Amino acid sequence: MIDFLEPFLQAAIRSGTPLLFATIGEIYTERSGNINLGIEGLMLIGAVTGFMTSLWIGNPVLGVIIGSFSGGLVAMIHAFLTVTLNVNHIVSGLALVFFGTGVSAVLGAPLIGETAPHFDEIRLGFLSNIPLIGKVFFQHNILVYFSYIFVPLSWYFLYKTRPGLYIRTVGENPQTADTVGLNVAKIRYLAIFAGGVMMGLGGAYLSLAYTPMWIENMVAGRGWVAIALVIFSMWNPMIAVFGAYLFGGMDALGFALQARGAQISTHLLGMLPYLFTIFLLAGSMWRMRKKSMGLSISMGPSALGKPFSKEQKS
Amino acid sequence: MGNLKIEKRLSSNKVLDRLIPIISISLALIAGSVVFWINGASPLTAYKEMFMGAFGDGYALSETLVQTTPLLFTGLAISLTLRTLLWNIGAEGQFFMGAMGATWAAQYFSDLPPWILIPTLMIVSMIAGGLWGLPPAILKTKLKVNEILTTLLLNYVAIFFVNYLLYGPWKDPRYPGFPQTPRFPDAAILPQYFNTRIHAGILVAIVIAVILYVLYKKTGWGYKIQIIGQSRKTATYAGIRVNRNIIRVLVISGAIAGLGGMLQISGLQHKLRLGGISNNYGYTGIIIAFLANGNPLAVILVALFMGALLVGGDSLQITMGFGKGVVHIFEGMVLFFVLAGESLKRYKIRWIKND
Repeated sequence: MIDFLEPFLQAAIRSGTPLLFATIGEIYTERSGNINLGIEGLMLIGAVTGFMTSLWIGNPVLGVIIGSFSGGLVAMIHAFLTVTLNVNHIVSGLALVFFGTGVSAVLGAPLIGETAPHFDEIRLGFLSNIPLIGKVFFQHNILVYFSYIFVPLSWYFLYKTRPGLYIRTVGENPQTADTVGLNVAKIRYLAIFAGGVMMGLGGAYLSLAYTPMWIENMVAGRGWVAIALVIFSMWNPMIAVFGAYLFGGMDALGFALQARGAQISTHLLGMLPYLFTIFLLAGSMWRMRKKSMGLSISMGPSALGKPFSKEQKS
Repeated sequence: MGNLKIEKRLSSNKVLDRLIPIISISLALIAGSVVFWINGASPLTAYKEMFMGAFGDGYALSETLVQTTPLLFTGLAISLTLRTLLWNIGAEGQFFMGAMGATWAAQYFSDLPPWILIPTLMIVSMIAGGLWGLPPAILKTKLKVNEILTTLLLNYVAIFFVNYLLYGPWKDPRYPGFPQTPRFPDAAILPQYFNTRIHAGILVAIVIAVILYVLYKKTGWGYKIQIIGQSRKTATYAGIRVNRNIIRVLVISGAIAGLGGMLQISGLQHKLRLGGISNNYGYTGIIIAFLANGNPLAVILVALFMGALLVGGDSLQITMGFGKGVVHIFEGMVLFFVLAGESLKRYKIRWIKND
């Protein structure tokens, strides 16, 4: 059993990590009251620019930095349209998906088949030798270790620091935030930028660590899954960890079963994570409905997706 | 120094309203030329190539109409949901399910004569597409689950399921290397016209566009769903059964997209084949419906534009070596500029001097 469980759980974390980065990015964005559906496009941008940088300069760390930054930069289009011009968040996000898919395909065309310096597995001394835990948690590339620190920090930032409180206030009640002197637009811009950076990071993980090469459309729907995971995690980075690994696990389960000779169609198994998310969505809404009868459980930031401009108050 | 200030317009400006889509598309064209220029191609040559590739001669025009046909179905399907302020991101999956349903019916009822078989295929595909729209509708009305997510997720389920059939039970045993079904019986194949690949699908699409237009403008139901789209609260107060109509709209939308899938197979592909079902028609349909502002007749025009873009993009790939990516960039930019333009309809930007 353990020789099945070990590689399976390890793979769950490996393929859950890009989802985790993207999900946390969307949590930052949505906590500020903005919906960015363009994750898929931003991850592709991060994947292609990250890979390009590593190929040309020969340094995957720089690749990750440039990839992340590009994600943030392209997310600014969405910020300008939704925050400054107050357009529909959904359509703007979809436009970002098309744009990112197109730009990454054009930039990536000459990169197909190339190999760039990428991240390999790093063992952390005795930690990696602990039975089960060592293999599952501590035989990974450096970006996975980074996520171990990054996720609790994100939670701490959003819930325990003043800037985090600003972001949540702007997402809950922009009118009040404005009254107490917060610059709603500026905070949303920053949150969308930070979110874009994390989505770009998730993309760069794919092209520099997960499948170290550029494949057109290599994000393969993970950006959409991240949107579902945000809801599953009720906008909380710590719950997002479980969601992302669970999803990564569903991804890995197919391979694990087939490696053991189970006669199961990969196509039917491929359906599972998506069906599973639908059940999760339905389940979490059902749970929230039940709970909200007694306690008032927030269904996410109150001002999510609603336009805000100072003039509308009068 | 001064400040840019964005203010709400008090009255709409008719001339501006008409001009904005044109200006937006022109700006997207200009921005697109930067993409060509960066890639070392003359933008003028590239656009001319695209235009000639889409409209240059009879063959080009016929191919544009062939590409427009499926886009009409997905665009119309999504425009219906937009009228009720629902987002059907699942037209892609519904299109796949329609194609799958039609393929099943074509094999199962293969003995029937064409005048019964074709309508059977159409009905089965509409049921398949409509059923694919049903779970999101139920979850939306019963549990308030966001339909954007559920319709989208079901796309992946549909595509994986069709791939399973193509690699497994439905695979044509005579061609083991190819994930495709055997060819449809002749009775299940629609005629093509003028020695081109244009098939009856485009006529069906136009009929549906007209039916939807009449439904919206002349019937009580059209009025009801419009009120639901404007305000769920008002609709409830007015005694309209909001949930029931939301379910209807999402199911009918799925049925229209599913019918598009059937016509794509019966009219054009003549067999279910991996990679030969949808070319992101479901997603492009979202853009079309949005640009057409939910108006079914405007959907026809916008779908033609998008179809031309696809065909023009293909010829660009052949002659100048640009991939599909350029088309996607262009689609994205048209949307960006149209969105920005839409907001200018509602707001005006003023330069305010402060001393």
